[in-house]
Amino acid sequence: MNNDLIKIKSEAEGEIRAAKTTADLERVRILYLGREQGKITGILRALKNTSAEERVRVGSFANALRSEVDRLLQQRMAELKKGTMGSALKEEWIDVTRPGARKPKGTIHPITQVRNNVEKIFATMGFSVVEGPEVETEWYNFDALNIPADHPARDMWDTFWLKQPENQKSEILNPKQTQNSKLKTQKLLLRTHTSPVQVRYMEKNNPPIRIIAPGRAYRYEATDASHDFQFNQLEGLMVDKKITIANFKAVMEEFFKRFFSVGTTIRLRPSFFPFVEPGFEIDISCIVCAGHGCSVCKRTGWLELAGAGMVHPNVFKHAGYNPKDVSGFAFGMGLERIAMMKYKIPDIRLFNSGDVRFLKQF
Amino acid sequence: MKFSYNWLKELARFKESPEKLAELLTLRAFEVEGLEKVGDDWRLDIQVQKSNRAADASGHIGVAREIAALTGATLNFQKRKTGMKVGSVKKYLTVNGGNKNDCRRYIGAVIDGVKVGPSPAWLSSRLALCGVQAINNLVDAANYVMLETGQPLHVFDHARIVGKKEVKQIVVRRAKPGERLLALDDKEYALSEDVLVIADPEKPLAIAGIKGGKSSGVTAETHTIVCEAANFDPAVIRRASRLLNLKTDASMRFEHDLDPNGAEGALRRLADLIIAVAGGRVQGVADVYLVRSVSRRILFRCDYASRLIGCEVPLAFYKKAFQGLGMTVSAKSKTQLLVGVPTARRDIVLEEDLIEEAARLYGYEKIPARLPETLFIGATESDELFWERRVCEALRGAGCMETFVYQFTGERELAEFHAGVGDCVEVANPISPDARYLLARPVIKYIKQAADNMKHEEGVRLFGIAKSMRAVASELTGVRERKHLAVVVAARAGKAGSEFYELKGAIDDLLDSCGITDHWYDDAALQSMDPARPQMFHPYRSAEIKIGDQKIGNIGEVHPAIVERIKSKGRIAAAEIDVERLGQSAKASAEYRPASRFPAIVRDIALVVPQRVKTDDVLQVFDEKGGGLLVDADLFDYFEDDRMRRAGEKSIAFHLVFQSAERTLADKEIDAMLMSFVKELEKSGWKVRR
Repeated sequence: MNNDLIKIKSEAEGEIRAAKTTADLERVRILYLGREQGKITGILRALKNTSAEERVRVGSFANALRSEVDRLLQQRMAELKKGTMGSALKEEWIDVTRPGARKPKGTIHPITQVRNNVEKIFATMGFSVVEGPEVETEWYNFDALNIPADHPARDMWDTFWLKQPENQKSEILNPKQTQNSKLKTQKLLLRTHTSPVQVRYMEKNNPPIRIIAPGRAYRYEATDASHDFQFNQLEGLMVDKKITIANFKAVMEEFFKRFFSVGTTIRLRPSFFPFVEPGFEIDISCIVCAGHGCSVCKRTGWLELAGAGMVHPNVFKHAGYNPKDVSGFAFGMGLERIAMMKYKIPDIRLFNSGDVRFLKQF
Repeated sequence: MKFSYNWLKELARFKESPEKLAELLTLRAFEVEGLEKVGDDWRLDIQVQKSNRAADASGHIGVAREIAALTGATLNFQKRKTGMKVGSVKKYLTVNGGNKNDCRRYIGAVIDGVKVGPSPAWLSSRLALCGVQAINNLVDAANYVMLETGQPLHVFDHARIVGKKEVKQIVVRRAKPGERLLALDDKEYALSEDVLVIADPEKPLAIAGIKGGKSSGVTAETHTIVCEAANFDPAVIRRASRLLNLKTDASMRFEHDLDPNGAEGALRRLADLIIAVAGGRVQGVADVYLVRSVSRRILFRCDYASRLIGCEVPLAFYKKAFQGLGMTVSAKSKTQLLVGVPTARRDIVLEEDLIEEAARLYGYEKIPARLPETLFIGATESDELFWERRVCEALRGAGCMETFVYQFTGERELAEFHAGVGDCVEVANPISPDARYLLARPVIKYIKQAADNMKHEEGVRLFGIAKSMRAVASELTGVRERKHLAVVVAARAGKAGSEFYELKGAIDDLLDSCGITDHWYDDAALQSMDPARPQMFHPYRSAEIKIGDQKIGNIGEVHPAIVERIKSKGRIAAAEIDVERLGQSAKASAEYRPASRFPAIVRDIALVVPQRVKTDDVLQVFDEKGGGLLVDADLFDYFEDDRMRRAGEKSIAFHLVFQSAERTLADKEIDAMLMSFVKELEKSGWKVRR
């Protein structure tokens, strides 16, 4: 029996060494260790019919042999694999320059991207996003913002006026609605700016206030490459007990620095908007030439980006605040202008064109 | 407004170069939009009219005052020679100023012995630089003094005014209905009671504050004139100017509420200038001053000013700044000043107005940037905006491009979509007939954009959120504004109806990402309608999107008649969803459920059913019979060949996935369940393929 085992051992060693492929080696494994017909498996299985003494003697030897053969098989397998791996992988060559399998490309409108970015930056400074209606009353769009009727300041906002809906004309006479008569009898218009949101928000909330209000606005004017009668604005408002021009400068500087991710400086110029006093125009140092003067900034080194100012006491009054108790700043900027600058878009009308050849670039 | 550099330099003896001056004005006072060399002078385009300073700075003197305040230069104004109390005007002229609410002041000066002729070159070249055409020495002098002082002036031919013999009568009054006036621009204007006129007893002579009349104007034969320097109510002038659609240099200035006190100095200067360039003698001045302009005194608290500005500005600076602007300053206490404002500065009413004056003179660049020292309260986000963002991201992921649309439509476009004006809100002053109404169904704009893109694309997927605006009586303003999500899928080639399913898949994914799983597509309402009725969607390829009982939108293939009319090169499927309703049903919170440890059993079942049987009908059988063990039923094959089509049949096949959370399922029980499915399906006469 022992001789058999010794013979098997030397045969197995020889065949393992001789195996040239993994498939050969697998055949060798089955020949000796196969579950059904393996030579060593057969000897171990036959042990149950022998005497206890024989079982101990041969068993331990056969078990050791099985382990040894198994070890040799694994060792040889590792050697073989090492040798064939390279060529096997070579067989699996693919053309990596072939285009990847892409899903159809979806895009977010550049104005939305700019808007999201602006909102994100202001959110980190504690400004919440609020919205207001686009069909506005003359009160919220003008009078409450200290822009009375028959005042030349109204010329700054060419307005789309709306015809009073038919259903409304009879409603005005309804006595149940008199509490809202102020609004009922108001002429309707498409808001010319996002500023009405200031008053609407202050009416319903107490200071401290930090909001931005993005949205569509409309102007009754001819269109050209830099003007459209429908566009997007973003309004900002901060009100508290002691808000200062210095605070305003810091917030705007922080915003522009982060938005354009380059060192920009801002400059305030005197300007007139009836709902602020003092009123400013905000310029930032040109993001293209860093203030040296180029075609984008018309050689001035500055880009005009927003209108702003300290909230006018009359606006606080109209919103139901006591101007003695609070101060604040407000600003407004055109999102199209910022997007045009950021993405170098030459014509504002592309934004509403719906042309996918434009949209897919963003 | 155009200004002459040399002229300004005459009035204020500053040293700044034109470029330096332009920069200084831009940073401290008004934006200078243009600077241009003209001969030996420079033309500055200063945006005074865009500020609220047109009342005091729409003439060279006003801007010169501003420059003096900014640079410390000394002013050098011409001395007026003509007095207000010369001669005896009563022999020549009486003035009735009328309603003081319309006309605050009216000064008329009579000059005789003038010789009409061309102006001297220095005068006409300055007019030209400021964009005013030279006409004759009298009219030019009036325009020149307006450019200098900001006060509009007018010259009448005394001989052409009616009165009692030589005593001419001027009346300021509202025009009578039906009155007309041929103006100096050779146009005839129909007047009304909203228009203020300067008249004699017989006829209007001029549109007050806006334009002179031809019949009373200066001619080559004119020898005696009446010079007018008046002050009218700004709102009256503005309304008339808009009504007549006539804007002039004069009306623009009056609209900005000029100071009545300014009329006097301007008139005296005009008389001096006319005598210098046309000869003559002042025979008298009539001054009807009905509403006096008085100087305001405003309390200025330095601590409040510094608090609003955000840095300490010394009291001495404030004092000097105000004095430099021609204001009187007296100390009320250690930190308070009483500031007397010149009547010309009509823009300064509140303490805040004074703060602006001080701050801009101080220099905005000197104010340090300081972040607010307030309690930090984190930003909040409304649910609606949160879901909007989620929707955009989901659709972008589904390969859709976000696009923006105009919120306007017109009868022509509505008709393309089988829609009437209906409850659309009408614009009173539309930019074009095609933009006469506000959009009630934004989806039509997206459909149009898809059709436009199909001219150069094989297929497009667009989406966007726009406003639906409708006249709704119950709304406070009578208009209901809601956000609509529109999604459109268009393709040139493709299997019949494939756009619809692409779109439906995108909507399913979208709702899924909003945590909505119980939505369904209800075609009952649409199919009960008369299919011949014109409508937006294909009557047999559309449905209402519902969550439970609530409708949140529509989905469908655009009606073939519309596709043809808008000349689309492919079929278009479109969906419109009310964003608010979507937001109300959306759920952000998800809850983890452990995956079952027990293996799932998958069985396929295929059946042949009549063509009009809906997938949902079959799924309903599975749902009813599947108990809790059928965890998923997936349609994986939908097939019909010619033979089946002729027989009115189609073949559909499902993967059915069975799984329990508690135990390993036995093949036998699943076989039994399948048998029960088959039995139930066959009850409906459907053939199960085995």
